[in-house]
Amino acid sequence: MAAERFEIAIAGGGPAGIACAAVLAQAGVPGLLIDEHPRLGGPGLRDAAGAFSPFAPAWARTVRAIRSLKKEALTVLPRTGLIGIEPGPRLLLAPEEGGLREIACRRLVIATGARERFLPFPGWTLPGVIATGAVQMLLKQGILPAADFVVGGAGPFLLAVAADIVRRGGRVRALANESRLADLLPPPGLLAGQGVKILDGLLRTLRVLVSGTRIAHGTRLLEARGAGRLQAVVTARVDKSGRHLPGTERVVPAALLAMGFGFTANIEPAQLAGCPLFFEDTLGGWLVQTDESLRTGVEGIYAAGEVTGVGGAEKSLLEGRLAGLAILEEMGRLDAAGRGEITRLQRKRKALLSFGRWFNRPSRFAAACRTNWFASLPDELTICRCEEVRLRDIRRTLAAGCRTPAGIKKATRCGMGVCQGNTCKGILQEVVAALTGGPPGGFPPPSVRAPLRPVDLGLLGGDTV
Amino acid sequence: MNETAADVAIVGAGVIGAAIAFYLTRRGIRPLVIEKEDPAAGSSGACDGLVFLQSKKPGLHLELAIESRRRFEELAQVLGPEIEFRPSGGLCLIENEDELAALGRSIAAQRAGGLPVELIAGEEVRRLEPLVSERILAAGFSPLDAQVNPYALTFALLRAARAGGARLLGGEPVVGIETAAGRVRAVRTPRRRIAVPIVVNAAGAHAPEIGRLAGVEVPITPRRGQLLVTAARPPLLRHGLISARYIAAKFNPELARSGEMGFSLEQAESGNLLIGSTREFAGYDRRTSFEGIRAVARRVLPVFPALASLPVIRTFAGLRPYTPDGLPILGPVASMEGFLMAAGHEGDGIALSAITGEMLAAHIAGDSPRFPLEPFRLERFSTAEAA
Repeated sequence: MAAERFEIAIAGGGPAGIACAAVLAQAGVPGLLIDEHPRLGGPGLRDAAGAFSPFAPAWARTVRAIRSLKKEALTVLPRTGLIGIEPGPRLLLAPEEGGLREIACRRLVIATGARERFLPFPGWTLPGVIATGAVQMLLKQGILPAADFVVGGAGPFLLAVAADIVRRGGRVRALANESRLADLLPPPGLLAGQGVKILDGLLRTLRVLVSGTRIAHGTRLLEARGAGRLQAVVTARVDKSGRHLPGTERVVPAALLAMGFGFTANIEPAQLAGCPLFFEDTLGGWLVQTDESLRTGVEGIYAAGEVTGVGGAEKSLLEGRLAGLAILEEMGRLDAAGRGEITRLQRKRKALLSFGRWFNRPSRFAAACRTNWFASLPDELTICRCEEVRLRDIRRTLAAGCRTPAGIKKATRCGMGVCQGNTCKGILQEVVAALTGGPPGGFPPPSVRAPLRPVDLGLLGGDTV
Repeated sequence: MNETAADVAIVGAGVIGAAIAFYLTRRGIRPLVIEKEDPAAGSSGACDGLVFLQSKKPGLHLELAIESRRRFEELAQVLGPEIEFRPSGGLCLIENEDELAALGRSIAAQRAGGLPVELIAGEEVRRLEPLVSERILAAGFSPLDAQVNPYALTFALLRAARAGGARLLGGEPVVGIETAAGRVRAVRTPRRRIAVPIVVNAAGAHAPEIGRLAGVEVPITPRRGQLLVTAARPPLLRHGLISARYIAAKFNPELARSGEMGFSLEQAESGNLLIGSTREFAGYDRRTSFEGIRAVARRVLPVFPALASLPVIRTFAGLRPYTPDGLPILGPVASMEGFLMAAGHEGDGIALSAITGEMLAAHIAGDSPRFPLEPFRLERFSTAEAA
């Protein structure tokens, strides 16, 4: 089957993908940019028109760059699912309008971003418990999904979401952050040159405090309660070894719980492409290994943005540009100024990685804390919603001699549902590591095969368009 | 390095190793099962659950499969509903006159070999399976064809074996087999030495590696099978299904390469449909390929057009242990006393697990197996060469 050919394909139209496309298109290199969503920008910046993001200036720059692109050089395919990647690289794409497309390219940039990370607690599957990112997305579209919220989980992102809720007129009854305040304060070294971010953070904190929200650190989401849907959230303080302190429980009535435990990178496409990975908990867990010019271990494949380390839009914008310049350099199409910019971007990237480490660390509890936490969770706790796998099933399977998440997946069906394990496969890894006393990252990430998104049998067996 | 000992060591906790352990414990022998990953991590956890008899060659192959199938009713009783055994019957779907003629001959031979199987007309096929298209002229139907959950079966056999005193050593590869004076003395993993007089090679597609550790050449080649899994649906299919072409391709690598391979199809108890399967020689590569998964989809659609709108949520590939004559390699190895083979079942491992377990257990216990091991021994290949 003859595949369409492109010099360069970019998977993911978030900040990294767009920045990369802009560099390449300006140089007149014929490229292809694909994204699942109708609008570019990724979940963080897609609806930045409301502009309560401190990254808006950089974003606006990128949007301008995209608008100024030479149209003939860049092909943008929105609403297009990436189904698979094969050596070549070759891509199998599922455009929303139907059919499958097979693309061959000389170079591929994987810029597939990150998703929210969840940890399970009693009631986390109740209607009314939703991801912080989902709440933020609704707010950006001008939708306030409830009047009374609890925001909980871990990490600095919770404060941003609480501030957005308050700004849109919602009431946040409690912000329960399991991270300790000391872990949330950025180290002085990180603050240099980050005036906009500091100001933004202070304003958000102020807004949340003024609204009367009770902000509690070192405080866990113990339980989401309700008959059929969320009615109240139980929080409790935890000690430094991750045990909850009896007597500190509080029951907070709320219609919605926005929960989040930081982010995890969407490494699956890179995994499928065979890119070597590395594990760094405080950069988001399993990540794609690259050199300083963002080349992965696979010839012709680059990675940019959250997949190389979760660090936010600014890092992604930088890495997209860096990958684009590095590709131009490889093609012999870069002048001295461009090479100088590569060096500058590589240096600045280090600082942004440090920011990422600060951002992720509070949601990555110490191994002992995780063990204590997961050990305290009840047997009937749901781990995999699609296949209704409970913690009991996992404990039993461990006792029956299975040792790895891959084995437990087979024995329990955990992660075998229609969501393709995107919610629970990370949880399973963490649960197994915690219950066996192993380190986080002690198991390789579960293997990935096409299709990366469900695809109809008829499409798979049909002709390419 | 830990020193330990066992009466019998079984290398591999796939369905074959698990079945041998299970039948050994029923004879009061407590084996040690050594598995480099987790149970069912290899082919037993990457296959469909068809316990199919129509796909077996009339003769020894079919006799072995019928003997194995007989034991599944009992396994279902002993191991419980979790193995999802269903005597659902199977249809072998015929698309053209050539296949009809070939299957007619094979059915006659299978009936002579004791398999209840009959040829049924297209309308009857569509009455049994309403989603089958007009393309199908006829089918072989056997009430003995059945379905089981392959990894649940593996785990259940192991659990029962452990309850009977078997031990499982997971996550430890066998890295050495000590021999002296032509017999097995011990096996080594990176963590321990296990003194053991009997070692069973149940390592599936990896059996040649284990054989080499004992100086035994094992003619098994990994043959990759890629399968598709759809989202779960309420019951759509009632039988195990394979196309007549699929059986032909199994015994004819030329046909397999030509792409005229047919398909296998079943709905698991979970509601997911499993559609297989390619048959490729691709070394130990367990990835799936666009070409492979699209070919499987392309083959099933003309026969089951109504499945076009079902989402495929997963694909996987397993390495079937292929032998040159399509039969497993079972029993003692002449050149190495105490070294037994139980591998090479290709795509029949699930179906043949019960009889394999029983034959090996009987032999180890010193009984003569109810089904003779002789025709399945490794030496048949060297004899063939000499001849």
